[in-house]
Amino acid sequence: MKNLFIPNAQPRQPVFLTMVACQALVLLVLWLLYPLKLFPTLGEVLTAFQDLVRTQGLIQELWASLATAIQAVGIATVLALFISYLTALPFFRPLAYAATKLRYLTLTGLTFFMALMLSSGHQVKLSVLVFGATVYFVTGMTSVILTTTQEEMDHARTLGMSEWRSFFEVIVLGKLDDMLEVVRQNFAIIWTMITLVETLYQSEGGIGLLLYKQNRYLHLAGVVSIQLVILAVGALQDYLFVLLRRVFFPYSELTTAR
Amino acid sequence: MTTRGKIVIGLLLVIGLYFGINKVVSSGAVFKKADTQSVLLNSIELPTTASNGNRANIAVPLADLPGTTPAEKGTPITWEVMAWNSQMAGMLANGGPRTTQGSAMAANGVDLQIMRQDDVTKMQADLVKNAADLDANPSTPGLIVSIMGDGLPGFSAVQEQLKKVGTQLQIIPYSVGKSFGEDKLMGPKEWLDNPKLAVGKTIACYLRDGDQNIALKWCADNGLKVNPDETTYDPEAVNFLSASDFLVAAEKYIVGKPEQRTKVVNGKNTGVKIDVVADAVATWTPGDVNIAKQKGGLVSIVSTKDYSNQMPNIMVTTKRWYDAHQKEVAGLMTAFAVAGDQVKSHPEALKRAADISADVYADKDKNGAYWLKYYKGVSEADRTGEVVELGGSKAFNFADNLALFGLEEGGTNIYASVYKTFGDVQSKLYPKELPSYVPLDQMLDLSLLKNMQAQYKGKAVAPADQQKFAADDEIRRNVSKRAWNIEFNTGQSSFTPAAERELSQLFDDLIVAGNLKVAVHGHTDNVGDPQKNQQLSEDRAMAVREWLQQKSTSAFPEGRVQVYAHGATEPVESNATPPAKPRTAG
Repeated sequence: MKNLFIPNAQPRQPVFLTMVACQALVLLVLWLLYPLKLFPTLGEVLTAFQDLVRTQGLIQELWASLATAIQAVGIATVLALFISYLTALPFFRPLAYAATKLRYLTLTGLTFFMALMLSSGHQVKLSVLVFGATVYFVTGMTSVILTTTQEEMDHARTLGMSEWRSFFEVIVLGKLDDMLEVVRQNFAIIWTMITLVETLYQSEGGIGLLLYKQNRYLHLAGVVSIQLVILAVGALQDYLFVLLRRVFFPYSELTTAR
Repeated sequence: MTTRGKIVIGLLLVIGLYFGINKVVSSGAVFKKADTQSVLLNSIELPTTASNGNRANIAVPLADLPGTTPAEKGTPITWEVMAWNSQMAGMLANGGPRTTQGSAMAANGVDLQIMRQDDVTKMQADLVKNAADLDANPSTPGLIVSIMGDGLPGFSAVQEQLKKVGTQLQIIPYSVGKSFGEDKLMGPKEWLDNPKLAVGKTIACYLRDGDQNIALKWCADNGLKVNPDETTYDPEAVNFLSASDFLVAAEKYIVGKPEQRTKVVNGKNTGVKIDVVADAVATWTPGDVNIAKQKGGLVSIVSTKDYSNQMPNIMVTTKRWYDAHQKEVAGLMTAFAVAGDQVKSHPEALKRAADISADVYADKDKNGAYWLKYYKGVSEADRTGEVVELGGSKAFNFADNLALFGLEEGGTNIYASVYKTFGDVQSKLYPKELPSYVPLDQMLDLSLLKNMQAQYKGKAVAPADQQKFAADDEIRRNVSKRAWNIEFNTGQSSFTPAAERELSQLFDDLIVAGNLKVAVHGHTDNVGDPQKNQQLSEDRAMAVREWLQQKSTSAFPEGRVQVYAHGATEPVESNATPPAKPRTAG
């Protein structure tokens, strides 16, 4: 118990989890007892949530969005890894550099050109998400590659590996766990953009469209409950990524402070 | 386990999960979205205006145009507006983005700051914030926002939030002008002659707002079902392609890319995926201009020129500010009234108002001449050589306001009809988004306007716009055709009680379409003497005309309703059915 207030302490897991649960409970009780003037009350949010699930297909819309998000992340990951690994060759470095700088582009106006180039609304949706995620992934992945130390490379070379082999062992295989971490950290970009693209192409529905409609009519309780659902999904996603990392790269936490 | 084994098992798990969830979600084992049925709306009614013509037609002399230096005195008020030409009178009254010396606004003790705000949700948020600020500090400048009159029921959703800060919405009982042509449904030319061709087609628009209302009214008038769900396609109804704003709606047609949705038949999901494109667009200037210039191929099917009372510019504020500032509101209204007369009668004043508009709207590529041109409305050839009508707004003066709010002798509160009509339509189509809307009488108090009416009595005020229908003016183009089942007592030209109800519906319907002429075709069944039947059918059609004219002399001036008798030559059904056919006078 007193562990909780000692610097750098690592309390036992059950203790820590109980503490987190208590903190969340306090927050909920505060929300219940002291409602803010313009913020919906807990009761209103729960009622809205029920209605959204029962009659407005929240679960289906969530799945529709999630499926699109997973598709986009899959494509973006492959694309970003490809661009990042190409930086092994100096010729392709400007490409990766340019890709990282495209983060600063705003999507306004770009969607129009994409619509002209592509053949359907769904493709535009996917392309916007893939584009948005890729530039962030490339940024993260190239910086992971840049953390490669001289020592690591020399180690591979002294083992008699060719330059390509060294690159493969040290950077491709050796940094996979960090790459996974980059994808995890930047997955959130997809969620911020998905609501935007679903507003642009509303035929396929999605949780973004649901949110847009709630907001349009100032059903703030509905807005808050959808946001909370997105938060919960995000938290679950993060947890899954951590799990994946533990299963596939058990060594990645060896150096973490305990 | 080796890494390879882990990867294989992991992949299998992921794939299994994905398809498993997909199966469960689409099987309907979890809660499904409630099925939406396509709806055949009852006729949508809009009132018509016309003055009763007994007001002397006195021209207003040109007043001095306002100066350009800010006056910097008077009660500060903020007015948020969209870039909308109906605000010309307001622009002239103010003399600039902020009240200038020598303007009507300054003369009435108001210091008004006009701000452009195209985002309705932002307007709502600003109103709530203003109400909270006023609560904390009553000397905070009040906020007034202008929105489309038929969009107010949807806008009134902000009421819940305003109640939380202890106030509610209040309408300023004065309108500066209206849309008169610029909001429209654009579609393929064939739809003009055969509206049924729109069935199974898709109209792009900003949903649940004024532009969609035009399309909805046109569908209702022509007996076409509409599918309110923007994520499904019903081959037996008119579908909507939802756009995030009116310009994006035009873009959807210009770009012409398909969107995928689920096909429904009789409200039941068939599971079939189908691609839809925008076949038509409901939008407003400059959306219509963009379509004509960039792609072409669509003509104006129906617009606020036909439904001339649908879209007055309505200003709302908070009751908290309104109640505490009656004098300022009256000042505001007086300034608008004075400027309204100027804008309506003097080209110089209108030109100046357009220049001020350009300042306020601040689009670098649109100068005063642009706003002036589209205020008046123009006919231009589009890219395919089709002639399309673009733009069109009207400024209101004081007399127009008396007509709008039904304070003329024998007048009906036109705005009240418009508000209720579109409120009902929207909440019928979108019960989830708009379960209810605020009744108008909770927001509108006409006493200030009545006071002004008493004050102005007998003074020179320019007359309201009057619809003129020349009796011999032939109908050149149908806007809608609909059979109305108005029952007569057998062999007579008197109405059954059920017919009275039908007639009321028809009356309301024709009120919105203030600019359309009406042709009433009388029919009888084929039993009995042909000559008698001919006479009877004429008497019956006449009876319908009589009834309409009696109910509102201002809405049905002489010459608006034309009568045709067919006797038994074209029996509609076995019972008598005179189809009333509202049509344009062109």
